[in-house]
Amino acid sequence: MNEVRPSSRFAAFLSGLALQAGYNYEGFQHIGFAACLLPALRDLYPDPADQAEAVARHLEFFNANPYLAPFAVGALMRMEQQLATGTDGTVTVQGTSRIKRALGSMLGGMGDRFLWAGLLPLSIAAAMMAFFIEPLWGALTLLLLFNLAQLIMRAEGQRVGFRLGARAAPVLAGEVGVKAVRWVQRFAALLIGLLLPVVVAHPQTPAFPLSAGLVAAGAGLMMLAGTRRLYRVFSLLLLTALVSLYALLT
Amino acid sequence: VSAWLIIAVAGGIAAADTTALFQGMLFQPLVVGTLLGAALGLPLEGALLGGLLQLLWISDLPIGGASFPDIGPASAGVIGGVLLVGVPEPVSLGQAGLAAVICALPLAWLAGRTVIWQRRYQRGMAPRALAAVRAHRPGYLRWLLVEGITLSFVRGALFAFTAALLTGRLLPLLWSPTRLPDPNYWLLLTVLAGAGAAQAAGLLDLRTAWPWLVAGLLLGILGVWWL
Repeated sequence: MNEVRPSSRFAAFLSGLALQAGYNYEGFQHIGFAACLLPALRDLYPDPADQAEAVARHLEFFNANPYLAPFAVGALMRMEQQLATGTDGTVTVQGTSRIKRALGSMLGGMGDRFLWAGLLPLSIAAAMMAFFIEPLWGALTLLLLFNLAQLIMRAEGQRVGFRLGARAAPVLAGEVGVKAVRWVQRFAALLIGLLLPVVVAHPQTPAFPLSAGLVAAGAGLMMLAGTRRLYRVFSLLLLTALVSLYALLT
Repeated sequence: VSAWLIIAVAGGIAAADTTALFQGMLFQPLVVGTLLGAALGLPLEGALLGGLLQLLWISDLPIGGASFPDIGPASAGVIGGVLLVGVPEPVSLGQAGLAAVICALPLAWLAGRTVIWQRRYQRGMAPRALAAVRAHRPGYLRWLLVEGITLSFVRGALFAFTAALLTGRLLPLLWSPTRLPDPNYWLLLTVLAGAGAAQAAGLLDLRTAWPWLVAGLLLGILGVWWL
């Protein structure tokens, strides 16, 4: 009976690191996703014609958060195995395609909230704290914290996805994902809050009332600028100009 | 020559990391600045400039198909240019930081446009991938990924090199004969730290996270007062 070998699962994990390399506005991550499944499909379909047909099926549109996409890769590997061996009659070609689309949009939304709007601000806040203590530690803190978390998520995501197969989608949409997002964002908020007094009290930054005023001015202007990128850029330039003017006058 | 090559390689690595391979935050300005500074023999100056630029773009993220400022190659070019030209000139850290901020903001936007151009070009990969698979050559998919990584690297390297050249040309004009005012690096960093914190907080769902933000603030004040 054909099964996905552990070495193929490891190869899929490695390919997942380059998931976005073939990113384009037609199929988005489709080439990367098909390349991730390739070792598994070679195990499952020794016949070149069957193999080509299976790979071609996975060249359809796919887009998810790249750090959580291994979850979908794992789930699809399991479903392809069930399809190839016929061990689960409920798994069909159309079903794998449907699950893949559902997982893609779920992983995209959840991953963006967890990674980009949770883990990344948390890591940057920690890195900036380290930077204010010793400038050379900042980069190291950011790299260690973010990459440790993202590599564990990629590996565990693929493992759990492979274990769950078609059941992956309902599990992901459940309470676990929501709780994870909530807690990572809370810790990020805590660290951002901690960072501000560190900046204000730093021996190199201006003395207390001025430093607190500068931090408040920077934060206030950025909040006024809102989410529009152009306004933010103008606000940053305005802040820089005002600081330069202040330095010139004093 | 080797210093310009180092800047180009740093830009290439940053661009590949942003969009093609690993996405391990090697493209963040703080990391680019520290590593590039270390490679050019000025680790502290590199880290300080990187830390300043880091605060500009916290909420600009390389998400999916959205357009975003490509901060990695832009930071490599600007920091490299400032370090190469600024150090031989008698330039203060504040002036270097001010120049880096002024140059980096438009250059990052321009670098972001090159990402869109690359992704448009890569549309051509879709029919090539399908044709190769139908011809029973599925291994070709991996070559397409290698091609994507190479394109990203070359794009980032060329951009960083050009940005460093531009920054290097521009800086002496700004500094001499009418010098830029020296804004004091730490003054600039303090105001941008506020802006960066607001950007980071804006990414969070503050309806549920705000008590944690306040708790962190109070804890920080207590800790600073205690120490």
